[in-house]
Amino acid sequence: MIANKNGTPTNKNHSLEETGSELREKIWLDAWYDPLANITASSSCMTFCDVNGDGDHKFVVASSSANPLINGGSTGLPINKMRVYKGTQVVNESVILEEPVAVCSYYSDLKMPRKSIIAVGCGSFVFLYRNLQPFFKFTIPPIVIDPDELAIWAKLGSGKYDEKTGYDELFKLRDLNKQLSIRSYELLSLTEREEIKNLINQRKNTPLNTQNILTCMTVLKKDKDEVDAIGCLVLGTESKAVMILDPSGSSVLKKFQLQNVPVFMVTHGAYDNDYRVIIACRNGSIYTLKGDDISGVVIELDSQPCGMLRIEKSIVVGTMNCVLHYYHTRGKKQYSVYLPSNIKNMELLDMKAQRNVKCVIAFLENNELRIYNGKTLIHTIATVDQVVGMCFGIYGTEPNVLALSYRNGGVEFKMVSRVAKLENTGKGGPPPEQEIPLKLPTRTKIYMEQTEREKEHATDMHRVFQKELCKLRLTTARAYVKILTDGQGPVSQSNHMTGGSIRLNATVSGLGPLFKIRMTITNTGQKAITRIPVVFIYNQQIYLMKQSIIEIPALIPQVQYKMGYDVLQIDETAGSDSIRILLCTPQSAIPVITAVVNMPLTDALVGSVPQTAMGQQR
Amino acid sequence: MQEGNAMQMDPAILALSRYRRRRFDDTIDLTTDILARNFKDQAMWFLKCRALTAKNWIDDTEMEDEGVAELLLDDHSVASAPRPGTSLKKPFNAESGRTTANPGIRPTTRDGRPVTGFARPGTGSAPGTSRPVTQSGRFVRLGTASMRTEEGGPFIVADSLDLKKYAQRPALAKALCDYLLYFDHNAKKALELAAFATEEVEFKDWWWKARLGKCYYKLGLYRDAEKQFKSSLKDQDMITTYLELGKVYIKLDQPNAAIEYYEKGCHQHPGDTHLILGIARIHDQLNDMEKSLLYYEKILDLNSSNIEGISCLAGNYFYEDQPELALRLYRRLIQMGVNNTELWNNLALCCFYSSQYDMCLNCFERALALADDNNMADVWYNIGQVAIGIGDLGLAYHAFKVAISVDGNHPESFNNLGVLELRQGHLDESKNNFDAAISLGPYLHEPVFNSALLSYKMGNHQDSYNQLQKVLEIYPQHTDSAELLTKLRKHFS
Repeated sequence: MIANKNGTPTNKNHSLEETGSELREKIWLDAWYDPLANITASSSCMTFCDVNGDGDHKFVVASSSANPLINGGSTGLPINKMRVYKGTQVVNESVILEEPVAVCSYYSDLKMPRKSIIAVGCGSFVFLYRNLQPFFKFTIPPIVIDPDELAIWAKLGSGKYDEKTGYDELFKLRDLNKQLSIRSYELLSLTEREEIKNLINQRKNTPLNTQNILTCMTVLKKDKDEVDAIGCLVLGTESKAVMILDPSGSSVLKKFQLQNVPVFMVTHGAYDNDYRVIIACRNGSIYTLKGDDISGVVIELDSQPCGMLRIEKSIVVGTMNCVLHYYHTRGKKQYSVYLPSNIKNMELLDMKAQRNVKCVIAFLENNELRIYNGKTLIHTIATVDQVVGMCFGIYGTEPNVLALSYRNGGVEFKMVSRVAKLENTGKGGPPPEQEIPLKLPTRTKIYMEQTEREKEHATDMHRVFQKELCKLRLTTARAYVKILTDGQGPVSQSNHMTGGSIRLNATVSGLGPLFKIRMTITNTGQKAITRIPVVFIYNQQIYLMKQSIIEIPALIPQVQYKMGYDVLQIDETAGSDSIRILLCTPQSAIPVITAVVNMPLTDALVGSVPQTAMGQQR
Repeated sequence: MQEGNAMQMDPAILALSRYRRRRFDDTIDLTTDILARNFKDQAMWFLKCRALTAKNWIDDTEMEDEGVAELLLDDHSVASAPRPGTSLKKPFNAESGRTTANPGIRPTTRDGRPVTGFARPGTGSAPGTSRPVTQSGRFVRLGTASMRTEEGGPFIVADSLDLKKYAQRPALAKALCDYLLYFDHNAKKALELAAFATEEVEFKDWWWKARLGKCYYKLGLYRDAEKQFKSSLKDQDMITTYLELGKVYIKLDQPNAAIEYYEKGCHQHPGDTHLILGIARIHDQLNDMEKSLLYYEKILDLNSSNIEGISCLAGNYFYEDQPELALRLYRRLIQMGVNNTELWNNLALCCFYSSQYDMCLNCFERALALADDNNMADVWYNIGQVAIGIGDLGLAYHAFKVAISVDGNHPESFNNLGVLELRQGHLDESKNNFDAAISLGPYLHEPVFNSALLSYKMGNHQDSYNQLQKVLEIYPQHTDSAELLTKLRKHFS
């Protein structure tokens, strides 16, 4: 008899347990921690560079004033500032006028000594510093405003349009999917006539221009892809444009218009040869710039990006659904690593000097600083606070340093130990079980034939099945109603008669002719039940019982009542029969529960002795 | 019977003819008449003896049901702590490195063995109700019952026979011996007779040795039986003797020795399926699925209509995720004229799982129409399973309820009902159902695990822990339990 197995509720809680990091040697050496540095900078606002051309790399950080945890110095006002660290000392601090967006350093010429330029992007400007002195300001070209919109505002200014007409005209323009200025959007967001009038009166005479805001900045090498080669700045703007500037920062070499606002950029190759700029956009698409065009290959992420790095020919994108995706630069997906918490920051660990390893440093919301080499988790440490920005590079003369900026304003430097093992040991990755092929049965010819049949007669089969299903439902419902009304079965079905549900289990023991029926009665309901008659129905030619009707005085909930009753087989040769046990209520003629006990055969070997006992009982 | 009627056949010839035509009752009536007139008619005495024996003949080369007393008082096994695979009481399990059936996929019998495709004696008896106490006890009862039907006392009173005298007449002695064994169930007397007879022929007749063995077997003297059968085989190579010797070894709990003799027999009689069947069954009992299947296939090569072989293979295909092959085999059984609830039920399941939906429910209907009290609950249970499969939980709920009302001792239905109640948020009901399933089916791991999971979710960690221990006792490789247990340990530490 095939009895198919049961649907068990299983607990599906596959937490991603990654282990092995404890066993590894210490990777990070704590160099210096200043909890009172009063600096908050995102990863893009930090860089290591050789400012003086003496081979001693400084740490340049542009601190944002937006962090409420940090007060703005002695004045109490929030100040944006750029700081330069040398060793444990601050060697320079200058005020930046606006909130910094990005800081980059690059070489703009081949003059000796090689002093790198620091580019600080904030608002719609990029300030270039040489010898820690600002010497040039690049203004991002403003967004070109639609002439129709200009005309509308001009008419509003000269009073040719009243505010209602102006509002309606702008509304039409927006419906035509034209890109409008921020002022127009602000106007269209208003609903009260009075407010609209006020806004128009305030602004109508000032010229309409929209500044273009910098969103991200990076450096692309100009002629050769080397550390000290001349570089070009690449800017991403809020107007969905990407610009490549010339090394001096004075003019735009190339401009690309994207579909979305760029937020992260990485570069590959050199501008003069074969270069790529890979751009992750705010909506989750990744574009590639190559030569003069935007490549047709667009990677669509499953979530918004929160960091992007390049390791050789692959790019690593961290997304807001806690996944690290690895893609080839040509757009082919390689693999994904699923993380247990949100990714807050990502940085490339580009190990120099002793060995050449490239890993991903990811900081997670649960204060874990993890290192991944490909798919393998190499190392995990817990940090003292949330990291808002991190930067890996050469500091001083030490080649592998990680600078961390904490939310509490602190700055920490960590060095990678020279004996640290960052290589993929091969132990990680998928568990070895994954390599064992599943024992799948072979696809048989009959299976194919049946599938064919299913394809051809799908409608008919479905119709027949539905018809049969209706019939089966009816049969089942009838059988169910029957047990409800007849009181069949070992568990009482309805509660209205007894006020509770009862379960009855009866077995028989003994070798015969004297048997014992053992009953276990449990009241599984909530209320106690009293005065329950129990009736035994049996063939009186074969069996004899002292009492065929008994009354159980009370059944208290959740208590098992065990009872035993003697049955004597009178007619030894009659074989066996079954005894029905009915559990009733005084209120109803229908029994609440019925149980059937199949009596065993009397064993003739032992049968002769208790025969006299029967006489005594009579 | 009219005397002197010229048209009337000689009653003796008639009786002989009726016996040949296997009309045993008529033969017995005729010979009784003749013997009433002339009780010294040896030919008629012989014929009546044969007829009575033939009427009550049981093919005892198959394994029989074991009585409760024999199970409890069994002291014949040789080793008390056997290695896995060398004893029927300790079959292969996953720890012994063999691929055995996964109890999470393939259901188990009450003994904890995976179900086979064929219900054979000694495997699926339900405890608590109508199991006979001893095997010999039943035979005694059968013996007395058959004698009572006779008027004027029994035909042969074994106790008053001079067995030595009979032993000198081989033809009569053989008939008498079979009569004593199959009709009178008096193994002791038969043994006496056989002992005299074999002495008479100077221990050269294999038949008497085999009968001696059979008598010893019936009396529970397995070592003596083994000796006799072996000696008999030396004189004459017979399939039946091999089969009976195999039975002796199974009783002695030496499955490997049994297989050895079966294989010897196979070597001598390469075309015989009974011996192969014996090997297949022992492998089955040792949980060695792969090997048993090999032998079932061999049987089908020799005899493509062997029902046991077909159904075992079909059952295995079904649980190995090839329901379409199982379906084909079950259809063959239908063509062969087998028509019972189990077959239709299995057909329905195969149809469902190989997505031949149009035939599935029809088969269930037939299964229900043919079902009796013993197997109706299983059919309803499977209807419930299919209902869960198509997502109709209401139907499933009703089906399980009906299954329980038909057979109050159906733990699988209680378990599934518990899961359904839990889905509806009836915690108490569900707990009750799991408890019922646990008490009715202590060999199932699902209800215990479900109960443990429920306890865990309700925050009753101690209960959950205890129940998980129980699950792992039943099914040590249960991953879900192991996972939950580690979680609990974390809680406790």
